[in-house]
Amino acid sequence: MSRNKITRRRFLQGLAAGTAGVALGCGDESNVSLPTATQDGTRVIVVGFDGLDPLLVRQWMDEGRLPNFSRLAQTGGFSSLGTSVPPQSPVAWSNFITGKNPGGHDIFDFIHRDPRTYLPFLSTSKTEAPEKFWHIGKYMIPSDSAGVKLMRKGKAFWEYLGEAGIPTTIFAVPSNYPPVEGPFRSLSGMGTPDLHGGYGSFSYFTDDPPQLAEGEEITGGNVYPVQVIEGQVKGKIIGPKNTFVEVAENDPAPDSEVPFNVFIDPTADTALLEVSDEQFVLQVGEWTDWVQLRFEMVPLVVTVKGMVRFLLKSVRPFKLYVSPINIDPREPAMPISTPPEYSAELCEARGGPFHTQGIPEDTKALSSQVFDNKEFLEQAHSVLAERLDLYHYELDRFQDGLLFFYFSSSDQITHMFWRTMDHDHPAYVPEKDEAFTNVVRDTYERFDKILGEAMEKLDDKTTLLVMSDHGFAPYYKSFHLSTWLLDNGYVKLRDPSDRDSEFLQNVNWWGTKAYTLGINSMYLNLIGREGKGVVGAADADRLLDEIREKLLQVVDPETGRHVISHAYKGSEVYQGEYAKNAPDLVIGYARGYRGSWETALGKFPRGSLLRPNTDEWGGDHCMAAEEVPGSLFASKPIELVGASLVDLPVTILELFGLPRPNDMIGKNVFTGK
Amino acid sequence: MLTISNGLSAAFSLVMAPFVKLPLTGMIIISVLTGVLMLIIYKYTSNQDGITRAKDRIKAHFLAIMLYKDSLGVLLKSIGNILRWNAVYMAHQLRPLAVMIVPVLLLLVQLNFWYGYRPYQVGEEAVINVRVDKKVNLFETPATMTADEGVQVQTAAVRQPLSGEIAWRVKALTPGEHTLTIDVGGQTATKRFVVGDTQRLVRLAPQRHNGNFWDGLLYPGEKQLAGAITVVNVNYPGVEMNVLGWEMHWIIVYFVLSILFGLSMKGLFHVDI
Repeated sequence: MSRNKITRRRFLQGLAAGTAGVALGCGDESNVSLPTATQDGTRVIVVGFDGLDPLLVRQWMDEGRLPNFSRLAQTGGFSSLGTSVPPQSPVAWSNFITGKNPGGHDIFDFIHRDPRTYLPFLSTSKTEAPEKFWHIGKYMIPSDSAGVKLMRKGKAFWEYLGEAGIPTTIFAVPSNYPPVEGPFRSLSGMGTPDLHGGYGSFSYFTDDPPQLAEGEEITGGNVYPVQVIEGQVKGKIIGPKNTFVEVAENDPAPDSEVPFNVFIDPTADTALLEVSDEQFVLQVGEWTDWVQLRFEMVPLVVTVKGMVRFLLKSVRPFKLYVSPINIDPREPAMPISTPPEYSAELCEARGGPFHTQGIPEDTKALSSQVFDNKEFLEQAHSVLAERLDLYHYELDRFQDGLLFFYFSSSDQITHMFWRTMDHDHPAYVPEKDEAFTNVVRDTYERFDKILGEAMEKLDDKTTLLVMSDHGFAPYYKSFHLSTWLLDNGYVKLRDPSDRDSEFLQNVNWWGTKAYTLGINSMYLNLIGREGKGVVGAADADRLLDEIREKLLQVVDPETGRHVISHAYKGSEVYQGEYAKNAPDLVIGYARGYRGSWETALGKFPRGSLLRPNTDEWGGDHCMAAEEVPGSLFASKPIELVGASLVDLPVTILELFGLPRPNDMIGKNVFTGK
Repeated sequence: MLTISNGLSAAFSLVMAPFVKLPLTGMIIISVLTGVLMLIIYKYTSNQDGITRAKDRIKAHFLAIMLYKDSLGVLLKSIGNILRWNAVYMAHQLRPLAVMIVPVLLLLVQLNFWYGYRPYQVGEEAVINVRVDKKVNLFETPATMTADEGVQVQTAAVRQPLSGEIAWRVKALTPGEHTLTIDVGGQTATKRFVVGDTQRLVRLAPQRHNGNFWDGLLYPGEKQLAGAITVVNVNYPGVEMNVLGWEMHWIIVYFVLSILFGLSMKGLFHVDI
């Protein structure tokens, strides 16, 4: 391993490095006073169901299963809603938030890369470590505050509402971490990290660790082997890196940790869990409520607080799941709401804390077989139950202005349970999946009831919009775009035998013309932009055309179908100040196909370019935008043909009588102009 | 000690009865009574003449420091005398403090039962811990818990044979005073479990025990256990007092009020402190 080699773990640890430092500068109360009423009593409710698919909604409306959606479609309007290129949630929601395409808001993929170093980083936020410290013994206390920076550019539409004195609440919209500040209430959504600084990492303590095949790894969490000694298990929950401890330059910061003990009954399937001065008696299959963990960084001076839930899966063998460490909304270690005290207010309202991690449903635990279908569904339903408590709280007190409320369950549940309703899916296993055939449908039916509650608020001054950022499609096969580039001579490896190094670490850049990182993004290795570019500006367009043409000809040998239906040139589909940061080619996969996880992480898998997707993650939307449009319902007729996400902020602003900002590119869906 | 403590519990229940809906008023009354009691104890157990003399000497030497501030010899001598008479004054405090500590400790124990905990609320879950005699082999001895209709026992027992402890989880269903019944190998014990209104004062005893000295002192109020079950513990949630919108531990309120009332009444009782 070379000295500079970065592993995915180190990449994620790097993201977490500033977590503890950020905690120092967090939690101040806001002095901003919030507007309380509009002049004319105009009210707009926007309910965001992530991933609500128009084809599925139409099918179940036709079957009479979604009476409220049907009623809204009849009395107002229903259409598909154009999504972003690519149709990834952070990109799509940024379109909605800013009324711009990615060239205007600078979010092009979940993962971006630094062209000078080719190193990846998460696209939506960046943690900046403090620069000055006081050195006290073995500790270094930051003397300036660390910060988290929202990487999305462009003004959020609710900032205009705040400036106009319109009461506004934005609940958990994605791509808003840390939340923009202003005279409104907002809670951050997708993009909010766990306490490690990543998208969520579970812990799994067991005396029967999963047997993994060579090269196989558990992603999204850590497995800790433990021993049961005389009915007792001792373990430690690993918290964020303690960056307050001074270490040698190349040494990693030590982990912070919270110990726990479990006592198992000699014969019954019960156990007593002791953690953080609390006790929980659990039967197998039971969850604890939220447990606050205090990670001591500097004794008596700095403690970072997080919270977890435990699931006792089994006692013989011993299996204990611990959720990712969520930021505690009662005492947030990082900025998750505007005003800062809003998250604590929500806890007070529901009588307890709630998931704050941006993607709270633990899909990785299901993909890693740490969860089974039932356990994942229990966890996902607990997320939804919390959301519903908060939805009712906000809906009940909503009097005036804008209320935006976001639900993630439609997206995450459809990702994980598409395979159970699609019995042709390679991941469908009748013995374990048949009982879960209707999970997605049941979720849509629950959303219908949620919609019904919002519809009760409708009157002549209230407009209701229900929208999703994209739809869904089956994910039958993974395409190894990175390997395709290698096979076609566009990439050269330093060590041809090493195909598993992540994040393009094994690429010989002087022999590489094009590379891919992220789910849909492909870049040329351009002279002057990339650190070791080899493609001149004069050759770039010809090379892109060549690659595009070849990609569009890739065919699935089993079905004869084209794998890629669209390959969009960044220069053609993006406009705006940040279009220069765009991928050169955005790959639009055909329905049923998607870029492989290995491609997204910069690996070069061997074997066939297409691999059947046997992962529980069986539905997806990171395909061609045309394949997975979102849904739009409104309480008024929709006049605009081909409405898309960028049209909604314009529509909302104009509903309140505000002028359309010059840099928003959308139209009003109700006037068509 | 157990008898005194149990007697005090009964007396305290009588005193507190009018204040179950007025926690702060109850605290004020108790603090006034404490102030008076402490003054009386102080008056009759302390050397009042000695205390007066020590204080006078200290004052005199302070005066000397002010008058002879230019004379280094007098200054140093006066400082030394202040320290000496201060030590004498402190020594005079030892006897009344030693006498006072017993009733104060008993009062604190009683007050903690009224102000230190709150009852479980409907829907809330609790862990019940039981300790058994070390002679009981928990590997082989079954343990069960039952409860009346107001409480649901949610789990089977978790026996910890090495420590001789057992735990269950219960859920509060209806307000009221309920009874938990524990059976360990045919030996039974009961424990009061209170579910109710957090605004009212309720006397809550977290522990029922087999009556050793310290348990008897710290956890009086319920009949002593007999047999293999030695302790039953209900972990009532702790609670803070609301004083004019400020949440604080009751013990701070109690000591501040008692001291204030004591100081304000020392003239009335002709006590020199």
